Amino acid sequence: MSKKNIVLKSSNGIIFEVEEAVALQSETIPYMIEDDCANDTIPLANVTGDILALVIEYCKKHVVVADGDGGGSSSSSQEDLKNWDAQFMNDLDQSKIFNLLLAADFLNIKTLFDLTCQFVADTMIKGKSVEEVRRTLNIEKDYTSEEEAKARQENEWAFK
Amino acid sequence: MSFRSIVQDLRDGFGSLSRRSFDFRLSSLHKGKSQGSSFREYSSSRDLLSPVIVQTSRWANLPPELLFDVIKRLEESESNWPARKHVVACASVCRSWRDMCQEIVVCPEICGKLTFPVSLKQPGPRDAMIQCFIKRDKSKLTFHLFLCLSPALLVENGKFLLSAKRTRRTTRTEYIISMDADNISRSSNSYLGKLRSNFLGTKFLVYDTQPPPNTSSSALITDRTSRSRFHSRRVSPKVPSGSYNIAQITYELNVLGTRGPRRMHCIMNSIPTSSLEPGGSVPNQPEKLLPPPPRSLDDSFRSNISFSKSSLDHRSMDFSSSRFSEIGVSSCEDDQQEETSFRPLILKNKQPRWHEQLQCWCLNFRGRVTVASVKNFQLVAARQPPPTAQGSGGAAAPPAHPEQDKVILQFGKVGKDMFTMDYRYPLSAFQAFAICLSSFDTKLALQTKESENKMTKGSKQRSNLWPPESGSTAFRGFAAAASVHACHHVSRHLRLGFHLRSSLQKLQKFSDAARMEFTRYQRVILLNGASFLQSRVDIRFSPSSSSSICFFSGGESRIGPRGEEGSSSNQETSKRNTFNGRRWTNVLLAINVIMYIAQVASSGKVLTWGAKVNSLIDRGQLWRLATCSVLHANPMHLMINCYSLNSIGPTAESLGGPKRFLAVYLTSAIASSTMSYLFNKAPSVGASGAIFGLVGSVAVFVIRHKRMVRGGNEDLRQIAQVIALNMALGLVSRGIDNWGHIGGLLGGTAMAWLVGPQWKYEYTTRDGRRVFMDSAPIPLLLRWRNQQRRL
Repeated sequence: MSKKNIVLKSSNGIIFEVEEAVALQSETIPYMIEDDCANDTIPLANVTGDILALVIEYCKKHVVVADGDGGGSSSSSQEDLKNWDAQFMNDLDQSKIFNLLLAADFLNIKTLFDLTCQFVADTMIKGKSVEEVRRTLNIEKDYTSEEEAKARQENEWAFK
Repeated sequence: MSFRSIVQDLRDGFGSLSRRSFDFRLSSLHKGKSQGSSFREYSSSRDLLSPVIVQTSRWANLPPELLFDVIKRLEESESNWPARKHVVACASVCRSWRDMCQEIVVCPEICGKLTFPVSLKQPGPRDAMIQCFIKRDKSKLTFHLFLCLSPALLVENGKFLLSAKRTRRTTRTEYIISMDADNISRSSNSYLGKLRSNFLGTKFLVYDTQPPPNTSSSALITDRTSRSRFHSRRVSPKVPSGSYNIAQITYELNVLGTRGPRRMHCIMNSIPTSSLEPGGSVPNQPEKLLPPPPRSLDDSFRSNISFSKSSLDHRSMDFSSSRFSEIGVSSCEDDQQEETSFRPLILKNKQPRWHEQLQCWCLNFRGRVTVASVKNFQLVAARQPPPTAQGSGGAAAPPAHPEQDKVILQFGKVGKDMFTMDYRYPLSAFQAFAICLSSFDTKLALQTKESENKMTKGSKQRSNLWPPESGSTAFRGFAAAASVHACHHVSRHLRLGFHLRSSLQKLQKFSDAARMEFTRYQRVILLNGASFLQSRVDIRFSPSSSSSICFFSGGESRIGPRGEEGSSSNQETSKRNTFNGRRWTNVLLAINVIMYIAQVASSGKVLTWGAKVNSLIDRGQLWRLATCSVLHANPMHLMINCYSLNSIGPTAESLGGPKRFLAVYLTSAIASSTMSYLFNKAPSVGASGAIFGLVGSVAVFVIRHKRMVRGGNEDLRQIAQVIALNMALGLVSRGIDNWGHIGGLLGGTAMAWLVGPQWKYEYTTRDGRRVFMDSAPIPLLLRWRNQQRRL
């Protein structure tokens, strides 16, 4: 297998050079390779440099683990990977998580997307009251007073 | 890093105005020490911010697909209560989230989970049952419905779903159903609907604050098109806007009513029968709207066939087949089609089997019910031939589908004040809860501690069993007539059922007081069937100088021709009378009970043999005139009549003695059934006519001894009131055998007038005793004859 490198370019012009195996975890990039001249750099207009760096870090980690197993999945390495994922997500702040989510969606990296979605659901929404969710995510309520009352009633019922 | 994110969390909290600058600063911080690899630089943090952040927050502007994914994961991971509340919380964050949640959370019919309050009014799952339990608070008369969170039967915790509060009105019972656990009232906007019983408590109506689905197909279509506008409805039931009758529950007594289980009959106005057919659905479910099946190919095909057949060889066709074709055609007309497609679903309770070894009625609740109770039931869809089935060659007749054998709702007791309620499609939690509450209404009755209440509600419970429309028509007839008395009881109880307990105590006192010379307290409980109006007959004879006068000799021998001689042993006699004053009452009570036992043992044959049925009496079965008064329709009927007899019997017996008592009782029994035979076509049973006669005899006694009895007028007025009230109620409530009561009253009165006693002061003996003689017509006659003989 020839180790071929792929050059990715973030929206703010930062260049990353990664192995093909790493890049191909994204399902979007193959199409872009086909569409564009594959030898050139692939511009990723929706992903900024720091986020792309995170994505690549994630992909590298996962590609390494997959290689190391030789296709099989020993439980210990799976465990390690999980722990790594958790640590990886925990180290991010909100805005990065948000952008990572967008990037994972854009690049169509399924495992990363799952990971981020789950992380958002688990840590940012779950176990919080409505007010807390709004505050955490800085969302303004846009209800009319009638809708607000309805929602409050539902909540009272749900939290009883 | 983590510290920084905390800082940002805090700062984010300050609001959107300041956050732009924070982000700015933070992203420049990242620049310095962001982990990772070889990017060179980036132009400006503005680039990073500007495309995403608009006014409020980047999270608010998360692309819907991503939000969808996030919330979907949340919804999947929080599939059980109480964690599922976070899904509800999500829905109230903001509009876009709300819409998303509504899209993700499917109705319980499909996913089997309850999420939003609106799911309480959506049909339950098709393939499983939602398991709930109901907790009752007897002191507050409240009921709370919870979702079971574990398979254990007697756990205390569960997800609160619905609450109800029982309120008694003068003419009915009402249950207010609310989604607020504590504040259950009609005025609050958590009010969801109510259950209301009719006057007798045999029929219950369920009212919803939302209208039932319109039964015209056009309405269904508008529902479908306005799906998006129904969002508010999907998440939360509308603010109470009206009262729509969505279901009717009727209780019937099993034919002979005694040990048999009750029959329930629920007509679900909001659910069409077709919902249980393959591909059917409950209308007015925005998620589940299917275009109304226009006209099946089969249908038109078949009618075409019948058309052609009838036109081809209509001459040779016999009458029935030409009828076939006609009906087949008409069933294809639109109006007919609509009528048939919106037949309401009818649910019936599964009839339990009599288990010989266990000697009880058994239903298989699959371990969800552990305590035997009359209230336990399982509802299944009633098989009903559709109105046009015979015509359209079976096209409209749903084949016996396994769906219809499934238990749709089951309810039963598992412990003190704990009940399980499991329901499934097509019922909603709200409907199921309302149906179970109606079963409670009867139960509550029997368990009330207060004796007054016990009787009152007991009789109500009994009335719930009526009318017994099931079974053969002959039995139905008996039962209906027998219910006469029951109805009476009920109405009376409602208004007059007070002071029973005190009167019982006073009855007790009565036996003691009877031994005292001059004063006798008598509690007369008038019991013509429904009302135990207590009349206090305080008979106090004018005191004389003597302390040993006994008026109520009781023994016929004494008041007979040699009445004057009896006074010599009056002390002993009076004592003996006190003890034996209720001997014949006991005998009569025993007869009633024994006959009832015989009736149950013979599985109703005795009732068939002895009830007053006019047509059979016409054929010469005269014994029915007498036997009907020792037969009763069901345990409550028996109990009430026995109670009444037990209340008035001893009084009447001690006033006149056993012979007079029996004479009055028998006469009025026969008079009652004769009167009923003459004027009332319905069959009837029951001792209340005879008991009415006893009331009459007491009245006669009081009238005759008014001068000797203090407060006699008062007593009379009370008796008259009771009688009048009974009659009035008998006229008002249909089905009451008022003629029987009148007959009994007249017969008893006449007999009492004839046989006495009518004490008249004769003379005072030398030792100061006053001697009285009976001057009623028959004793006078007897005395006169004896004197003639002696001469």
